[in-house]
Amino acid sequence: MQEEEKDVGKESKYTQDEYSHFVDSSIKEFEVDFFITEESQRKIVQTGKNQAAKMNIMISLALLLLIIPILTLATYAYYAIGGEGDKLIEIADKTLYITEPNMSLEEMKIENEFGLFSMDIHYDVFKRIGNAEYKIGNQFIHFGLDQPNFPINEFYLERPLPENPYKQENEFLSHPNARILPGSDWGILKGLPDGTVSEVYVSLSSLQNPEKFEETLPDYTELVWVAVDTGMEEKMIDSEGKLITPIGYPYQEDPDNWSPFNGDEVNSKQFIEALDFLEKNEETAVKIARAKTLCIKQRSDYIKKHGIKIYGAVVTGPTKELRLLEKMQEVRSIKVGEVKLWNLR
Amino acid sequence: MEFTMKSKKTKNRLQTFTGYLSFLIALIALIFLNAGLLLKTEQMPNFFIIELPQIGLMLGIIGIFSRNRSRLFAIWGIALHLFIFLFIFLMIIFGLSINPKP
Repeated sequence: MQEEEKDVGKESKYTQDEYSHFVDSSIKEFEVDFFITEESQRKIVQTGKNQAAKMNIMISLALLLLIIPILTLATYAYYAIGGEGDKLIEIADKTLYITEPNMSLEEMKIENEFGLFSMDIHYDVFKRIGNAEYKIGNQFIHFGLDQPNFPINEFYLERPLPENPYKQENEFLSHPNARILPGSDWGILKGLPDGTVSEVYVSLSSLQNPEKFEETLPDYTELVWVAVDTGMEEKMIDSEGKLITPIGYPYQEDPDNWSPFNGDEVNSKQFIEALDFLEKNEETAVKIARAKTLCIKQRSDYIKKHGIKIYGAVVTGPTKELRLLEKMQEVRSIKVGEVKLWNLR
Repeated sequence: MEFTMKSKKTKNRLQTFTGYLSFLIALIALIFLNAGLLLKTEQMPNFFIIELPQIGLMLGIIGIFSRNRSRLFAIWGIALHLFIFLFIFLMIIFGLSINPKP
């Protein structure tokens, strides 16, 4: 305590005047050294304002420019994570093979493009006529997330199937017990020159085993697609009265490894697997298919219970040989599809 | 007791020049990235979305080590450049995993 008192005593060596003088001189020195004119003050404020404005503009611009990349990234993530994009492509692929007689596509050439939360796929569609695959058009499907729009088909066919099936008479294949029989095209087949190959939709007079039916076909002809009996083809309508269309599968093995009907297993087995897959995604498949109802579960259960029996088929080959179908008891009627110049070697 | 005027070291709030440049380059790269996405073109020059962000990232890193200056722009620049690289990387990964072709 005594030492502290001594220290205070030492500090008190300056008088009150000296203190005042020192403080005044310090204030003057401060005013000289740190004097800022009004002009300078205005400049400082202006610089601050400009800095703040520049920062706000740049940060706002950055945030705005991040919107599209982030949404694009989210779109890609949606279709990539969990394989959603691949699943939608697979649905379109299998729906085409199963619901469109004698139509195929090249899986490796399916093109896809992405918008914001949407995916477009488009691909060329082929038909086998005679001994060659012909490109008959292309199909374009827009998916908003996982919901497809109706596909846009550009098919260049001489005798296309109706795009929106509404009348059974317009369909090319009919069940042996069907009351309505589409008119037969024997006259057209006879009128075609011998130097052509044709695609013929054959309606059978009874349900057949596909292998047995193939054995009865004329030489140089090929069974390309078979329409499978699913218990609904007699009336061709579902429980709500909507028209259904045939379902079936390509009979020949597809050499393309990426096709759902490649040589890994017999096509009939791959057909049932494809039906099981489409059953889980029926809503999407119905939107893509021509028919507005597919009743896949009901038809799949029937096939599993009764086995694969066909009531119709698509046969292709030289027109001359196809005329022999008329003499076959198994054949009830035919419809001529596409015709091309001779392409057998 | 002595009175002395100590000049107080005030922190200069001006942005670092390199940080500012980094942020500006990030904005330019983002504009080109947006244009490429909106136009759906694959012809976008790599310079604007790969090489330029690399330069910008380096400038941002230099900016963040600057003393006595605000590092806000440098941080924004670095973050945006990293986003651009992450975006390109993820787009490649996602693009390859959807409808893969050998």
